[in-house]
Amino acid sequence: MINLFLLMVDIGTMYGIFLILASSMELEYGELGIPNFGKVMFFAAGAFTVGALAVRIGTWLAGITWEGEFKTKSILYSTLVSRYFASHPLDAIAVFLFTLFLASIMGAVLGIVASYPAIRLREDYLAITLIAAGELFRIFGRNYDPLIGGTMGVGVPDVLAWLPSGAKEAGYILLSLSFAAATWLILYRLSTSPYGRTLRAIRDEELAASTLGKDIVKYRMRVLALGSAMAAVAGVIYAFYMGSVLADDFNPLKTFLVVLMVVLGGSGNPFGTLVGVAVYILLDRTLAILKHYVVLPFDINYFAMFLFGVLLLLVLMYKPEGIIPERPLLTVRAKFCRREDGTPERKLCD
Amino acid sequence: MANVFEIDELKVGYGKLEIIHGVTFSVEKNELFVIVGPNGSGKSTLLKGLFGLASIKGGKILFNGEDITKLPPHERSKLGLAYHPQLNNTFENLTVRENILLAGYFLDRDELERRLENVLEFLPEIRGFMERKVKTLSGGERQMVAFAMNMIKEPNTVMFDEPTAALSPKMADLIFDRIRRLKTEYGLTVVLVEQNAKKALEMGDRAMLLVTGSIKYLGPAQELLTHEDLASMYLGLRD
Amino acid sequence: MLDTNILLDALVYSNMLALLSLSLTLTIMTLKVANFAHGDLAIIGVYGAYTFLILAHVATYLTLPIAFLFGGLYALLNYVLVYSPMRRRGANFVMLMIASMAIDIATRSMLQMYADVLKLNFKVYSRAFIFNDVVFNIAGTRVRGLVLISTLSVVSLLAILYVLLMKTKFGVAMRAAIENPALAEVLGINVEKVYATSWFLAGGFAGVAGFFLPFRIPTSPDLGFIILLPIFAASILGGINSLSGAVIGGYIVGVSEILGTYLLSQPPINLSTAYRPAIPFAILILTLLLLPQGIASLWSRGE
Repeated sequence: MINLFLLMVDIGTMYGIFLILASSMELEYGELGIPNFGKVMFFAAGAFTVGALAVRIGTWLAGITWEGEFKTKSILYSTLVSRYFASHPLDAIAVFLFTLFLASIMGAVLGIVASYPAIRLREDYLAITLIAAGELFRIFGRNYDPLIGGTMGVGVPDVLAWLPSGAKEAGYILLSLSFAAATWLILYRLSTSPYGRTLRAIRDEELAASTLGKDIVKYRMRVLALGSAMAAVAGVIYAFYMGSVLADDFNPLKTFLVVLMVVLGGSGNPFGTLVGVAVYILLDRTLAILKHYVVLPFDINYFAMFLFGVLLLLVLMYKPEGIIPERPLLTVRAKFCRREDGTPERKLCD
Repeated sequence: MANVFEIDELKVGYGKLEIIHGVTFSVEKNELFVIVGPNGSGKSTLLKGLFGLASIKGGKILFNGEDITKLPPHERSKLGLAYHPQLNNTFENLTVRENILLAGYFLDRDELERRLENVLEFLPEIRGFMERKVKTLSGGERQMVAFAMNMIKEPNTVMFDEPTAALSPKMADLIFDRIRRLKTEYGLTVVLVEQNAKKALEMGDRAMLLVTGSIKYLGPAQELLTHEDLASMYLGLRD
Repeated sequence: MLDTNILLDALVYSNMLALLSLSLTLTIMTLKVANFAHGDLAIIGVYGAYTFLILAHVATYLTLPIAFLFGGLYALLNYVLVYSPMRRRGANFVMLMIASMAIDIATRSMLQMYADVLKLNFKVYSRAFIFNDVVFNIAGTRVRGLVLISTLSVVSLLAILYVLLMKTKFGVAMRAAIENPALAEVLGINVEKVYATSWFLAGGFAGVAGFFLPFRIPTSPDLGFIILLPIFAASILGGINSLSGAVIGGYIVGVSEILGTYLLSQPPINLSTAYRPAIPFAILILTLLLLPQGIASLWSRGE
């Protein structure tokens, strides 16, 4: 019974986190047409912010003096801080909100910085630039110990420690899903508004869109800032949920999975995002369960990634519009002339 | 009398768009058949359709008695039909010699050498820039290379799509001269699409006026030149 | 200050990069989109050679052609099964790019599974494996096999490619089909066959480059992705449509990376060698900012 509950918690929380990431990707790629292959970097920005600051701020609030290296002691101190949080919910919430706020700013700023190359480079040059930047980011996190504990990672205090067990887990799902819902609603509202139509116009026919007087640069900057802030928020929730931040966790595989979710679900359609994330989580958890029942000559995690790679390939080759395709824009209903006998002509009336 | 081309109710277009709306005409052996018309009338599209580079949406093309409507361009080429497009008719980063080699890709060395000699007799100017990359050549020189590439194939019919566009008058005259000689000296059949209607119609035997995808005139070329209404309305001639 | 070992290492690394950058540029010239699975071709090649080594117990360098073959065949498969059909169905730029990423993920995972199987069945190191080098005695000087063979390989492969492209009819057809496939098609040239051949060659070159990896560093399936950045930096520096530029770019990036990493790790900077990718990254950014058409634009009259 408990196992099922924890499974649900895990699925629910991860669904929320991935939905935020996928929504941000859908906004940038599905709507505006910029494939942001550096997605994990912005995700990491949020998580690293939490990793670097949460335990430090926590010990400061709790009045605990820090002895020893950050790298080796962070787990110990984060446990102490969690205990402190258990009886000081306001402090816990404060730490959460503060890191969330800071992370969003960081994400947005990074997004604006990334928009400079995004405007000038063609998509594949942009991709390699962003991937490389993300990797350097990860290497920095991995090697500069004071940031997030280098190769050991850093402990993150439990901001929901003040909730009783059972409610705490539910708290995490609630947190994750509410942020996810908010993010998705932003995506949905933008997508179905004139703003979304402008984004798609820029995506489909940039030259024409620019002649209509739309400042393409500003749109790109804003969308990337928003998308990156969203990804950073996802990173914050992820860090608190995991209770730790490890640099190597933030590798391009995560970006790939988000791309898979968006393409599989259907890019250009917000409902597709909902479906894409769900399908991924389902497949992922199913494989994780199967792991216990099948004996293979290789690690099943590799097999899972192999399947995901092949899956994306199959979608791109045979159903590129995804499970829920983009809805075509309705402009003016075409009127066909009718001949005397009532059959429609093959040309339009004026 | 065997006609080179028998075109019957031909419809040509791209994707869902139909540009030529059912034309019927024929091209006689060894004649210089001129196609003129205002911009956008579909002259280029018609030629592309005859060569197999645009989609045929209806009708039939008979080439020397054979139905080629569904044949791919390379097969039509084998039957002796050559096409000189307006743009992208050479490989710019390759030398002139390499371009001609590619045009005669399937010939063996000796045959290619023999034909090259003949082509150089016909277009001796090319000797001067055989080893240069096409992109270093002037517009007129490039057209000559494209010309040579078609001649290597020793076709019986050549279709030209505005070969003198953007050329200097001197160069244009040179090209026109060679085109005329194809008919008079080599006995080939020539289909010439031209924006420069006056010069083309002076040279031509019969002519066709194409306006928004339909034939507005089909008959002797010089008569179109002197035709009261059509010449001024569509061709900008006569004042 | 700089001992010969560092310089020789730079040479060997650059040899590999030159082959990889050249082959990447070749595939970009045909596909018009960058291939994010390119580094993996090298790893496919080397695992192919390694397997043969395990099974046949021959001298290591004799398996070099196997690496070429495996790399070439895998690249050919990629083209024939994925890229060509997608292109014919009208896939756009970004979709082809995402497809190459999917292929990268699938390939690396497949290699990981293979490494597991290899270890299980043959009880060998299937990850972080190395090849042992030999020393040749040439006219009294001792030359490391790696230096000699990698340099010889690059020189001969480049020579063969040059002759093929410039002096054979098929080579001219290749250059034509890459520049203007529509016109080549009209002339009766089988553009599909030409493109497939260039992918096979590109994969082969990458496989050969991959073969030399275990002589330098412990080789694992993910190495293909790790070297992707320097490969791209070299190709873009060279100019994405220039084969000669790609080779030169490979040497510039390779030497900069090795020498730069070494110098930066010395006092007073003492930077960890883990930050090595920063060098090709810097080259990439500088090229995109200052000379986006690559160094080939310096001598070619533009396209």
